[in-house]
Amino acid sequence: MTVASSFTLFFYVVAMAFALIYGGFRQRVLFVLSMACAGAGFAVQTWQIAEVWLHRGYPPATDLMELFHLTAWAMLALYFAIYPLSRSKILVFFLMPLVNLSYLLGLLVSSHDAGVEPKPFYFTTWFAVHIFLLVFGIAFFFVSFLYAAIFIMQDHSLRRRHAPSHLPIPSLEEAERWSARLLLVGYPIFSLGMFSSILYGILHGNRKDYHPGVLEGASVLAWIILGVAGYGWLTAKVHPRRRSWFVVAGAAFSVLIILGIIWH
Amino acid sequence: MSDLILVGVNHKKTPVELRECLAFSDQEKGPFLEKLRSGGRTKGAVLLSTCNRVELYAELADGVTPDHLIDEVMASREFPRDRRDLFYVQQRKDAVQHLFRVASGLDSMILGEPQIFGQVKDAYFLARDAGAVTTPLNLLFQKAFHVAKQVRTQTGIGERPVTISYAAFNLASSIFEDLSTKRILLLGAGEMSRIVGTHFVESGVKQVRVANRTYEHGVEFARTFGAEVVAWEDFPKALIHSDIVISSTGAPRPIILRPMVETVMKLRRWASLFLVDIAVPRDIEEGVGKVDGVYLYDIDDLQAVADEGLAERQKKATLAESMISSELDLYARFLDHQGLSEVIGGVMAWAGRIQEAEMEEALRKLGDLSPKQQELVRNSVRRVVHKILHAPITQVKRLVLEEETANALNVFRELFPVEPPAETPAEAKRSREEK
Repeated sequence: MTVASSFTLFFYVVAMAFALIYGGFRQRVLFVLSMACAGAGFAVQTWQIAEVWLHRGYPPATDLMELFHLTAWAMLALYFAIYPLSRSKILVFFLMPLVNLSYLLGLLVSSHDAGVEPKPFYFTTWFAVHIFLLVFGIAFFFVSFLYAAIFIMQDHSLRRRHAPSHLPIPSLEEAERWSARLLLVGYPIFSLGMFSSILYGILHGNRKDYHPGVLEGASVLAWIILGVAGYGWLTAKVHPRRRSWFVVAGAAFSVLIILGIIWH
Repeated sequence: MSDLILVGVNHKKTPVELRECLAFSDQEKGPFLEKLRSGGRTKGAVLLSTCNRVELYAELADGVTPDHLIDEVMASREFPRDRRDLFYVQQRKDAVQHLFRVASGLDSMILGEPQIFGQVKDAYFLARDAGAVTTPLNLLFQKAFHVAKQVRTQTGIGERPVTISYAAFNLASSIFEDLSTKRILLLGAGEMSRIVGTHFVESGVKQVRVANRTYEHGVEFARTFGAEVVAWEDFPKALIHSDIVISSTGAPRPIILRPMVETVMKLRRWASLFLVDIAVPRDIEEGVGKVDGVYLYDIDDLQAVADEGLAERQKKATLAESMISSELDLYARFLDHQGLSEVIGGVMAWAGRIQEAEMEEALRKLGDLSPKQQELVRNSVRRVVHKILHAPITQVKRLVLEEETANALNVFRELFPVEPPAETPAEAKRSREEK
């Protein structure tokens, strides 16, 4: 674990602590502190990614650890980008544990093996485009998943005919709208990420050597499930609760995409 | 501040028919406060008159007793002379504590209700405009506003609903993002329907429709909300274009059935539908609540939500009381340091005079400004003065009260060389008028 990783983890853990306390006490200062710590961690991680990229000549996304870390980074980047529009402070309560989980999982799995010769594909623009489209697509799915989970929680609470949740979670309508927006933006990004890799394989690879594994299988499953959810939203033919469950299932398969790297 | 007194009546002991005898309109408050001052009864006073209480917070003039004030209040209203016992009197620290509790909603009929805070503020501003707020009263009310805000934000006492109408509104807010864009359909023209409907309309819902079996009665009822009337036979169609339905008819059997709602939901493309059934016997079949996207609450459900909210508020009230108690101790220490309150009051009055003079000058130079622009200038200047004074005043309070720094007050006096006794802006205004 590098010094930069330690700092990043420290900031993310502190940000999560503030976010969780914010959920309980709802004091604006706690949210600001959480955002400040998350921002500091994000800045350190950005610097770390840039440094490794420049040093190696290709983006640090070639093993499971790096992919988990990059996903954590992309989720935060996405939250910072959408916050001015959504103004959803409470989302940080749900997001920071996910960011920390992703970052910690990265630390628990094996890191880049310096002895292994990097593939020529890594040094191409195709790889950078493929990885960033895929990772940002997954980040969109995860944040969409958080809103879908909020929708399911709120729906469950209302169906039980209890008082609204103690947490100031967004209304059903808001949760549904944001979940849909993120899914519908993330889906083409993720699709382009998938197809860019396939296209590279067609143009430069040997088709006889192609043996699809868990990675490809999970990618296609997530792609189909999230596609159904997106179709449901666009056509309003599927009920919002079912659409939210589709997003949850799609996000679960997105995790498999990352895990599929192990067998890849 | 040693002469601070509170006399009043409230909902706890005084029935509404007597409370309404004592009520003051906004137009009556100013002249009454002026009468007390010019009659030598008070140096200054603030009159709070709401549907649940009439309270007079006053700084008594020399030689005046609380009984004199009660006499004045009773003499100005048609209040039964033999019900003098309904008045309560509180002095000094008790009066301060009472004001803190009132402003925080802890003394309200509905525990923690937020409206009282605005009503206390209005009472203060009205008294200030009438020139009836002295420096000690000004400090007291500013402190009360600060305490009430702290209580609300830190305990969240007003967040949970405690009435059926508020519970319905609160639940609707959990379903819809912006209620002002939603359409509401009132089925039946009963009293409960009116109460719940009014709550939604007052909270910003603009599109209201009414369907009633007796069309004429429906028209009359709709006028209350400026609503559109729908023929009773057409209400199933109206469901398609409604987001919130409040049903309170006298029908002996359910009028909204599951197959009807399933069809409606398909036509609504599964957009959420909030159904509030406050009729007994119920208007909406139980199974309707199982349809996807439909959120059905009957009167018992709403009552349970309201009871849950009340229990929650009671828990939070305990925390609020302890917050008030510690703020009161701090304020009592502040009052013990008479020099501190005088100096701060003097500085505020001095700043107020400069502020008013500069504002008038600026407005004169700017020439023809609309009332809105003039208000903008006034507010900006006020904010600048308050912001500049906030930090030094907070610091000197902290140094004197918390750290007991002996010469802090002298340093503050040196920094702000105000000649005592300072005249408040209100007093200055009065002097000008008298001249």
